[in-house]
Amino acid sequence: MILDSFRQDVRVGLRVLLKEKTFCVLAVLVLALGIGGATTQFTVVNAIVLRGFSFPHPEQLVGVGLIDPKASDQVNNFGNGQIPTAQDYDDIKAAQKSFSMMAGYLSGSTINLTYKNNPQRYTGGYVTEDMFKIVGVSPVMGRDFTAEDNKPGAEKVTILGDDIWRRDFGADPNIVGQSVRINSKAATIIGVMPPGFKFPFSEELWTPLYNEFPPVPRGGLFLGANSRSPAVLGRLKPGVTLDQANAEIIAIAKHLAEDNPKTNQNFTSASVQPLLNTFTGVQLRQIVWAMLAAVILVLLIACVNVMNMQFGRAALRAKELAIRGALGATRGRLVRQMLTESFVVAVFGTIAGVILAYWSVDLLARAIKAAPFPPPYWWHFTIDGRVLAFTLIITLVATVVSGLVPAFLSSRGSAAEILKEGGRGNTSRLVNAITRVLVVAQIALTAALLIAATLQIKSIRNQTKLDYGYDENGIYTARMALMEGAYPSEDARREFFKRAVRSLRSNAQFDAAAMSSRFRMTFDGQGQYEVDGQNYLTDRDRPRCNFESVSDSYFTTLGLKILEGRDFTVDDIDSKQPVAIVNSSFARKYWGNQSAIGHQVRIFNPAQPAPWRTIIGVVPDTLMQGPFDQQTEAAGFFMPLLGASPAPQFCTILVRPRAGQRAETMGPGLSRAVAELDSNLPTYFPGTPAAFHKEILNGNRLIATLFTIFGIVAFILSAVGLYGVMSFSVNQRTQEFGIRMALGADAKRIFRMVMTQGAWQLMIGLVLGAGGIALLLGVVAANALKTILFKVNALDPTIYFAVSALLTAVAAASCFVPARRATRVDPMVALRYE
Amino acid sequence: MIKLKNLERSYPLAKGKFFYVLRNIDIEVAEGEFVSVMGPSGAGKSTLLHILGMHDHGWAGEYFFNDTAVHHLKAKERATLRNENIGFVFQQYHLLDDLTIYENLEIPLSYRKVNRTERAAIVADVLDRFQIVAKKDLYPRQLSGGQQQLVGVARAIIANPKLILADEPTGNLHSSQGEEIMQLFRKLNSEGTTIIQVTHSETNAGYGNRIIQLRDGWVVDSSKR
Repeated sequence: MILDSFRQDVRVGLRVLLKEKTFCVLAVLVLALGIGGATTQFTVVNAIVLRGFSFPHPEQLVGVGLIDPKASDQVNNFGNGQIPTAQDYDDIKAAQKSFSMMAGYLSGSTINLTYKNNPQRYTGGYVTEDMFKIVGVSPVMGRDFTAEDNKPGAEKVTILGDDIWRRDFGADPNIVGQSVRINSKAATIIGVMPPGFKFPFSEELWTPLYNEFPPVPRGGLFLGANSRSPAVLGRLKPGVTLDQANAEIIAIAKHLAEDNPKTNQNFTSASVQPLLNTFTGVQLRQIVWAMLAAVILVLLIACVNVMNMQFGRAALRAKELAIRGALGATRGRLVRQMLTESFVVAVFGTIAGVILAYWSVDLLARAIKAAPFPPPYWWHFTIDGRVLAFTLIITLVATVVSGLVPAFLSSRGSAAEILKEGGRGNTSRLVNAITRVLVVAQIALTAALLIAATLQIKSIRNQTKLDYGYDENGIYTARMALMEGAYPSEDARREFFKRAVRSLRSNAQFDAAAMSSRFRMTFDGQGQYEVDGQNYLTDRDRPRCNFESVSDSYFTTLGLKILEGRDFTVDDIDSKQPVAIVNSSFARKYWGNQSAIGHQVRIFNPAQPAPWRTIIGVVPDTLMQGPFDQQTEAAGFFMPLLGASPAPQFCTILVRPRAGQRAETMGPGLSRAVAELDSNLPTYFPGTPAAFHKEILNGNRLIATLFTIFGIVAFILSAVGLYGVMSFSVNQRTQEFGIRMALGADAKRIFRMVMTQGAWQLMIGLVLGAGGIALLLGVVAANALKTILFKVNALDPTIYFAVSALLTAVAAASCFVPARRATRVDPMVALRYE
Repeated sequence: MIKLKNLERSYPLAKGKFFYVLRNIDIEVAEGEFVSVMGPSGAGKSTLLHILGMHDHGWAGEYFFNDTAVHHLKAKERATLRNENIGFVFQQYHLLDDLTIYENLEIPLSYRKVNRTERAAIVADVLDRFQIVAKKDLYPRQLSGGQQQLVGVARAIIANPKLILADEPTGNLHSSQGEEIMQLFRKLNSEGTTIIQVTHSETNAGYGNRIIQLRDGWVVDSSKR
């Protein structure tokens, strides 16, 4: 019976909608935009935050880190914590009882592999023996790592990922057991992982961690030469909750702090978090949820628009509904019929929206894949069952939001009165009030979205306009890694670097050449430091700044002049006399107009005090803190790379072309020059700094573009909505205007009335929208924004003013046409002239 | 007060033809008269009323209001003349739904740029005269039809017009309410206000001192009673 009447309602609804083609097309388009946007963004949320891993019992997988409760979010890795040394990991692992297994790993690392005399650089993982067992995945060929494999000095082994096994090893079924060189040491391939497995992020192969980087005792800042400390993950024992695990690891952290005050006194807390949270990071999660909130706002604006259109239709159909009521239709029946029509519209909107979502998800996935850092392999931007279920829910919400109130209100008109009055319903007053409130809501939501979008755009503009301090298009760079196999000693590495610099400088193609520890000329180390003559009461009093190790002639290669003192030379060796060059921000900060030369600085390491470095020069500022960090100041100092102790393994080569040559054409020449020095040494990440700086901002640019699209869609929907409501309101008030004119009102007065109504709605909407977003951004989310917005004041009055001005202009234009129409009301017609 | 000479109102039809609603109208209404316009539906009664009220401008002929040649006035000048001299009462009351009774009464005064204090005094006086003080804060929908029309009449006279034009003022009222309104008209007329009403009711016409009979746009009788 119900199904039968539903079918009948759908049939009637389709017929009515076919008759009202303009409404139908507009409503479907508006909903398609809203639903398409929401579905696309939910696909992103699903891929990054919700879907997670397909491993058995993923809820037991957690990340572990130690926390310094008094340090900044940045130091504490945004809540994930850190494992300062491999010794900490080993101690935690030995003491804990909550985990069935734990593993330490370095992800996204360089592994040089030579197969059949062909050296190649891969992105790989250095892992302890239980890594794959924890996630419950075994090699499809060969065997897993053992504790024996992980020991320093054991025979080197590696497990290949399916991709490179197929691509670079010809899918050789007998690959297991074959010999290769890993980081220039003899190694054996012991297995191949299943297709699609690139855990933890986008690793192409794996090799045991301690075998490559023997754990150094606590107090050594680095796990291995110039490498990071390990990240730690584990699998909780069945039945152990996150709280229990946290409590246990915090207790262990306190013990470690008491037992090792020199190194661990600040790490008195810990964090055990779901692995997915550790991997995605709080910033990214905040951004994707914020973007979902933004598109839900757009969807709401779309629903409000359709609701307004429905009000317009309901007013026109009041008589039809009154007749239906007079013929015996109950109120519920009338509501159901109107809702069914809304549902039919929403279904069409959903179909169009999902098609739009498929297209935009594909576009988004391609843009993300093209980013310089490949996304985690477990991000799959696909519209799956969960996304479709979400779409179904928002369709129903859209139906109810856009249809229920109009249906409810239009069904409550008194048949007798409506029929007697010739079609003018007694619900118009309430409907008018509701539509006005809806316009206010639309303006408020749009103002909020536009402000958020403009802040994002300003943020990305600030990042793209960053001054790196030198001509980023004027040099060409590439990265290389000297692994222990070929360069087992510090001297060997130092000698290679010196030889490389000499050789590159004598190369006819290059005007200048130098080396730097800076990763892709963008990111490098930072931390606490000390300056002579300064008093520091506690460890935390030591300020933070940026460090970079560079060869001699680095600054001239960048085209910079030494402002005071001298450049590094090959004779500046840490073991003889440690020296440093500071940038002008650093010199100005401590010595103002006085000379910095002769003063001393050093990196702060409480466990193993670093040597004081004598300042020998001052150079202009370069963007040492990178394009994303706005918390660390510009001050920084440089250390000699060629005389560094320990000698680094990874470094960036930079060359400046001869006059008349373009830097971006230097790639083949540089590869050849390095190959002549060591044919087994691959170079990677080649390109000009400018190209890379552009690339790394693609993610932010994408976010800003999406916010802009959301803002523009919301803006258009609001403009259309405002026009629609004002137009509807003028139509509804035709008789009133007629009466007012009959009573003496002139055209100017009527025009002013309509415009004033629009102005009030605009003003309330702007106050609510701009005030709401200011409250949200300036107070509630102020901390999160510090890391999201780059050098942008979330309460920047110019942005708030500009958005308000824009919306005012659009609102004025939207009200102008209906207001003009109102002035042309003929009182005779309005008063039902014979 | 009113003199119409050879006034005609027509609407264009296809092929250059015209449909005449009013033909060759010659009417004079003296100050202080209470005139009823009668005739069957479609005779042109309401059209005539709207022309007299200067809402309709698409007519030909001559129209003098207090010796002012309305036919020579521009729209704005006609509006000023109307606002200064004419009040309207409608069959369907046409009170503004969203305004209280007080505010409905205040509207014609605000359109005539009467200042706020003076407006308050005039409205208070009218509320008192019409004995509707207790209703001043109610909305029109909270009143009966008779009460609404009472407010309609009060609104029509509030700006102290010399002429009241009423279009079927009792059309939506039952007989006792209608009688009350007509008594009010008679009283206003006796106080000097000229009244022209359109009506179908012989009884209501009986309250006036002259009847103008219209048939198919022609005046067929305009004799005094």
